[in-house]
Amino acid sequence: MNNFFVNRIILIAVLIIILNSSIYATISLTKNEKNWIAENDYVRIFVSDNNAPYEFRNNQGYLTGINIDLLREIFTKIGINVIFSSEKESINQYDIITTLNSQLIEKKEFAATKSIYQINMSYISHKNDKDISNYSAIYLMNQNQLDWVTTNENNNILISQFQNVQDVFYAFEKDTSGLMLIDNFFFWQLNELINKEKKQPYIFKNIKEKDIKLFITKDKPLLYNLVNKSLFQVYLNNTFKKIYDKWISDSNKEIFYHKNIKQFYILFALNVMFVLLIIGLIIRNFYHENDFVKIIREKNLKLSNINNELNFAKQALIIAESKSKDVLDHIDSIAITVDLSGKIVYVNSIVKNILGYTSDELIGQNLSKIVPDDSKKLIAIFYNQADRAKQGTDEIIIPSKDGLSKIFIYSTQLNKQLDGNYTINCILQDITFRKSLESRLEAYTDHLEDLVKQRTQRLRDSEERFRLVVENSKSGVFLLSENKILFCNSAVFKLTGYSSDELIDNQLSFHKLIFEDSYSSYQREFSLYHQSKESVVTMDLIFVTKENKQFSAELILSPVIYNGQRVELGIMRDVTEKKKIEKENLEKERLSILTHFAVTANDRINSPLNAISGYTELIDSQIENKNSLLKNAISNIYLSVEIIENIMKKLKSLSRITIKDYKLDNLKVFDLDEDVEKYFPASEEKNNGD
Amino acid sequence: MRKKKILIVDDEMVMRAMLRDYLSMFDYDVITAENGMIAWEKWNTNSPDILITDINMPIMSGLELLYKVKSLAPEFPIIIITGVNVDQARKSAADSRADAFLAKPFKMAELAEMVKVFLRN
Repeated sequence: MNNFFVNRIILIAVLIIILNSSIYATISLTKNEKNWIAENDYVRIFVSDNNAPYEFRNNQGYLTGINIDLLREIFTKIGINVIFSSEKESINQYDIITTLNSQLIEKKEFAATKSIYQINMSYISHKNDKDISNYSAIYLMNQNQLDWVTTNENNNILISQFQNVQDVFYAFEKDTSGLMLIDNFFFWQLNELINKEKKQPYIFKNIKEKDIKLFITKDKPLLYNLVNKSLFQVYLNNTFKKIYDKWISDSNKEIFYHKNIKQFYILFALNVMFVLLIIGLIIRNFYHENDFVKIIREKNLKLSNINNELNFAKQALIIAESKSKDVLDHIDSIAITVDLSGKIVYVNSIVKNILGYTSDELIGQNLSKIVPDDSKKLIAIFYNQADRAKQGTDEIIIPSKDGLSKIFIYSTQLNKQLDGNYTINCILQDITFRKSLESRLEAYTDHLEDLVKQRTQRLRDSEERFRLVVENSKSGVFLLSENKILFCNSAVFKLTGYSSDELIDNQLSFHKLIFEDSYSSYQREFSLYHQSKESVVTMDLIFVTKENKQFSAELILSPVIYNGQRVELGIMRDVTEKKKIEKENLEKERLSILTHFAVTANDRINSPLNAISGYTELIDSQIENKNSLLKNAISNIYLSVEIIENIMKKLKSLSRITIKDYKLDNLKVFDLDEDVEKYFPASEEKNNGD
Repeated sequence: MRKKKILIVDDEMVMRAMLRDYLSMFDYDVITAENGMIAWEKWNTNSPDILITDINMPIMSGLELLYKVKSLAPEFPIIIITGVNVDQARKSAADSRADAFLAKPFKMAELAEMVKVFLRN
């Protein structure tokens, strides 16, 4: 192929480009049209809001659809903004109304454009019959456009509307006398449903057609011109096809039809040819390039790739080092690297917090800076451990900068460098605080152990005292649960004569220890005590021993908790001797009262007796010539006084007890000895002297 | 010539009456008191010649009265009469410097003779 021919082809291509540019360029405008556009900021278009997919309001509330996108393209080419609205109240204020709302307007006021495209409708039927009057129902989508499709078809026919193709089809499927009416736009969805059916329905395609136009207000003839010009550009650019494809699947392309499509195909074919020509030229040039240049280019490309990879690796290495350093600087242990001479190659920044040295102070220095005396020894330890690859937990002590001894455990690793020398990586974990805590914990544990020992001893002593008290008590002490003795001291054995084996945890009922005459009293008292939940009850009972001897005892019961259960703590005290003493005291008291009465009565009777005898003497002295009867009477009075006097003397001689403060008729009986001593102390001395 | 005045002290009314009635027969001026306190007042105001007193009395006993009188007038004659614990009372009367002692019931003739002797002395 010579250069001349190639240049010609290039020239033709340039011409085609120029031609295409003129075709695809924006529309040419007259001066008036330009002025009109300059004077008007926007155009108001009234669209429907429920005619998916043509004009509808989406889930976000925005007006969208095929017509909306198409109108945007039209007015983009004109160069004017557009406002879409579905508000019906101000219909006359709109500049343009689409066909889907045309029934709302007075057409005299609006001028229609040419058809932009067509919506085609098809019937789907269970039978091969196109006459609608033979059907009882029509099932269709919920779209306004269908109103005019079905108007006046059959007034008696039932029209059922649904939200989607599936629902329409399922309703139609159940009704054999029903007819389904569907926009071809949805045919691709319908095909999927029909293909699942065993019996294929009849499809009467394109039985209804609707031209989609724009109605432009007659008040704005320039707008009408502009829209028509722009529509022509839209046809040329096949804009509607692009928009339509956006809204429909590829399987449904055939349902779109437009009479201008042929023009589009011609232009499209020219474009394809042009592109093929350009590609051919590029291929030609490519194959005629020098092979050497090609090789150099490939090598350069490879070299460039290698350089890129190298740079990437370097960058990754820097990042990794930075991260490692960052990690080491944030651990709470000292990370240190030394060579075999003890020179510190690296130490992380935490060393400042632990030992007081900064990293910069230490790096490059010898270990002897921080362990002057033991640096060689420390290197040997690190080396030996690292050489054995041992992860040790041995402890070492390193002084801090301010002289405090810090305790560390360490682990080491031996590393061979690229130059063949070895370094030792060592992690030193500061356990000083932990050791201090351990020490305190140990001391505290010792203290606790001492406390336990002391309290155990106290408890033991307490138990011993308790045992001594209980075992040496003369009173019987026992625990009673449901008439069984759980425990008792030796005094109970002595009192009852029973042995430990017979009493404790045995079948011998406590009741058997109580004498039968006392048993009802015991039952009554115990029942009252138990029911009233009194804290203690005391009873005087008679008990019987194993040898059937009776003894009086005071029984005291009080509730205690033993092994989580209520039992009675009993105290049994032998009161036989006490009863005997009480009886004697009672007798003494009775005798004392009697004696005292005798003494007092003697005193109180002697005075009137003295009066009787005195008056008798007076009478006796006053009557000089007494007859025998009077003499005998006076003699008998003297005799009677003497008899009473003798009785009183005998009564008085029963006892010589002197009773103080004994009152009879408010009269105090005095102790004469005390009174004499009180008033006449000298007389006592005198008597003693005598 | 002034009548001899006898002060009789006993908490028993019938005893006081009998002593007053009996001793009045001997032309004595007899005054009575029911306890030691009243007797002490009458002794101070009436200047009796002899005092006959029971021991066992409320408010003030015969021994306390005896002590008070003897404290002021050691030679003043006092006869003790009592019906209680006679043996002890007898000894007490002697120890307390009483001039005479009679245990109830006593013979009024004995008392009258005793009074007569004391008043004559």
